[in-house]
Amino acid sequence: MHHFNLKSLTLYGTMIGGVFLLFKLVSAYGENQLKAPPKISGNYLIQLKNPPKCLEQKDLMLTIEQSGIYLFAALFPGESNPKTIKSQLNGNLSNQQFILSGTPDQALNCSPSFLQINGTLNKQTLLGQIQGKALPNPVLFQGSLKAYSKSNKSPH
Amino acid sequence: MHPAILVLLQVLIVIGLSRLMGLVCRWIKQPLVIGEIIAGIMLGPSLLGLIAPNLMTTLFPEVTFPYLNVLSEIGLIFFMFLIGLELNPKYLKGQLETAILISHVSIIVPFCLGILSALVLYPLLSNDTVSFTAFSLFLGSALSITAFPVLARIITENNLQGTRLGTLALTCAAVDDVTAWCLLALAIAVTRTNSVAGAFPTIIASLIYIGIMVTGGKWLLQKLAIHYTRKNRLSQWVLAWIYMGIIASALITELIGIHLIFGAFLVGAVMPKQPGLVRELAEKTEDFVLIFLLPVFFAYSGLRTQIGLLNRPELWLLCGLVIAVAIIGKYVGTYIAARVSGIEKREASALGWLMNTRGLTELIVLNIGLSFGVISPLLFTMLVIMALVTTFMTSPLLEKTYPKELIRLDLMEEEPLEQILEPSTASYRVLVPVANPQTQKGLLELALAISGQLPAVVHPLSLIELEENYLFESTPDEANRLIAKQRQRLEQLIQQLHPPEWRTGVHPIVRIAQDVAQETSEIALSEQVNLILLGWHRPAFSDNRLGGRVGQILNIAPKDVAVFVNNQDQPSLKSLLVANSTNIHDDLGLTLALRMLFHDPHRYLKILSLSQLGEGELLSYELRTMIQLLPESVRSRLELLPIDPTMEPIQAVIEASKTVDLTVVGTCRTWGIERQTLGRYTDQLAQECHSSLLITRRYSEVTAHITSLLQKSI
Repeated sequence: MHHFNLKSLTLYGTMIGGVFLLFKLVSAYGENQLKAPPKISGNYLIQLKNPPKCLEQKDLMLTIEQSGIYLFAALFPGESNPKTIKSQLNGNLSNQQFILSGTPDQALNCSPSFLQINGTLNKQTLLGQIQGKALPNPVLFQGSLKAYSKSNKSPH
Repeated sequence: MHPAILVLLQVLIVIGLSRLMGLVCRWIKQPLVIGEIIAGIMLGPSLLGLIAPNLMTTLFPEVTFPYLNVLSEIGLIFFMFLIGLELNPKYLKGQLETAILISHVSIIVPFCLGILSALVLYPLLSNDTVSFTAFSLFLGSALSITAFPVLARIITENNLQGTRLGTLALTCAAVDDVTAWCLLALAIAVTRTNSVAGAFPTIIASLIYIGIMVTGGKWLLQKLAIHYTRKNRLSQWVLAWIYMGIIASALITELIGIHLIFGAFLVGAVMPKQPGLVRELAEKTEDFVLIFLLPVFFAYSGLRTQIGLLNRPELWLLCGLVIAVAIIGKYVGTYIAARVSGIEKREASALGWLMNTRGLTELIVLNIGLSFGVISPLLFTMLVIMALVTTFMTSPLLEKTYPKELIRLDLMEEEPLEQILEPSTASYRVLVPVANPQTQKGLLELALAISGQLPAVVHPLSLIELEENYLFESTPDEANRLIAKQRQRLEQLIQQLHPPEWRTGVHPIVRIAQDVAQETSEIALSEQVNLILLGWHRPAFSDNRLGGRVGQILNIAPKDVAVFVNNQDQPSLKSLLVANSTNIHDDLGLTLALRMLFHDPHRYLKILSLSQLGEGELLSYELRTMIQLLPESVRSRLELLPIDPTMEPIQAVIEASKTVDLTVVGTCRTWGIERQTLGRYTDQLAQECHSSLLITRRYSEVTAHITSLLQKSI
């Protein structure tokens, strides 16, 4: 330890101190100024107002997986076998507003199957409308959170 | 199927695929761990889930995840123990100040860049259940990691462990590792309590525990070391206590609030580094952990890696940003710190690339982050890609910045005697790959007979191939031990050679090699040898004398090669027979035999010539002229005879071999020995020859101009 002279100690002290200061500043800025998008991931039970023929199913489920503002979702009938769901909806979340677009599960016989879902997140409820070429008019919906997605369960 | 049974099937698939991908990676000269990481990713939604989603959900249903999680946690605990075990304070001596400076800067710079990039990534990739502090701390730690085990292996495989660069890189990585784990512990503590202030109790508790381990724990384990030295064996009883200690320590750190792995790591780190104890402990623990448990961890990680999530260009851009920040942070930080310490550009650059390796350690950190929910699946995937990319680029970039020739010029400790005595202007050099020193005395004696004494030099070459496991054996300590052991065996062999005065001309080379044939060829080129002399080994699966390793070297090495088939127990080399048929390979044989004539006044040479020239001449003009130039003392021991035209050439030679000690022939069809191409040839002569046989193959530089265009080599 005898070769740790004053010069090196000062140098390291300054470096570490500098990093600490930077960290403090950045985290202060981040905590106060930066807002991460709200948590929207989960399994939602969807209820439709005036559903068209092809969406006339009970227990429509919307599963959303979230990575920040990027959303990856699936829309399928509630009784579907999880193994056979093929649905790919992608979208963004901005403040409380979200947009999802893509194809729902094949079990929902909407063709052309392309759908767009616009909505707002309010606490744990989704409110919005579903549009698509197969739908004559936009369909209003309400989604209530059934369960959080597994990936958010912290085992500790 | 009960999940527990299904898990066994999963483990079967995981192990198999990991080994397969490991082979692929070996082939492309990348570390094994990359293959295992990729195998894990392949089994997840990124590949299997994409091409056969039903198969994936059948094989890896979510209900089995907890089981896999348990297995991978256990694997991680013992793996971290092994890492701590490997950390030898011995690495920290020498260049300590430089190493501390470089490693600190190489953490600080990527850490700061990570925190700054958190400003960009947090609003995009996180959600409000995670505090910015926790997120940025985690991201910073993740970007400052250097994978010590992978680095150790890359260094040992490139024979860098004796060089200044190698030892510096290892020291820096060791310091880096410890610091990064501390950062990670801090990040976890902050994440759990969601604020820095809340983390203080955890931090204090951890420090207290570390203190207890370093003092009390170490004292206890010293007793163990003494016990081991006395018994010289690690009994199951003792091992049981050690394992219990590891698990107990892991539980304690988990209770404190940092992760399980730290406890295990601590136990490994404070274990007394008595070489025998460490080696036995490592050997007993490594195999099962590395073959069985760790690939499960990679598979579990791979099941959570969803490359399919990056389905938009902007996401790939973000991924690119993350990779760029990681690389720039490490490389630039290390480079500048190294230059400031006075290290020259090339070494500093190589050091920068080496410290960039993130591999396996990164994956451990990322999985912890994902489990805590600090990083989202998308960011997790991006960082996994970053880990793969940074580890992948290390080996090629290292080769580019610091090619092997320069490595040899930069040895830290003098290689014993080799460097001092060896004349750089040797008149003749013979390279002798020696697989097993015990059985190759005859080979070396032949080499000496061919080369003569100083200034001609014989290099016995011993290449040590590392096993696939990437922990203990690839640590520089162990590699050096293996090299020293082999060198000692070679020295013992050299001491048995006759005549004793000639022993000073024998300079062994011992190296670590990944590809023996390739390395032999490279050494032959860099040492500018005149001849490679190989011993024939009976291959396990064929009778092909020129197949196997011998065949590989024959194919690759751009030098003259001679293969020695030893049929005698105590070969004497007094009477020689050369079969000559005016072919370049036979000519080589003749010139080698003539060399041997020079070096022993009691040696006799009979040349059996298959005359294919006109005018009744038995030898080519060149050879005749050369023989004329020989001194009388040599020429008088020479006898030139034609082959009886009524006999088959091969039979004639076999007949003549009854009365000699060594028969020398070239690889040509006349003697029934074709140059090995695709492993097909005949070796009647080799089987029926009564004496020992030396098969010579001339490397033709003339035909080399065209060989690359031909299907079959000449």
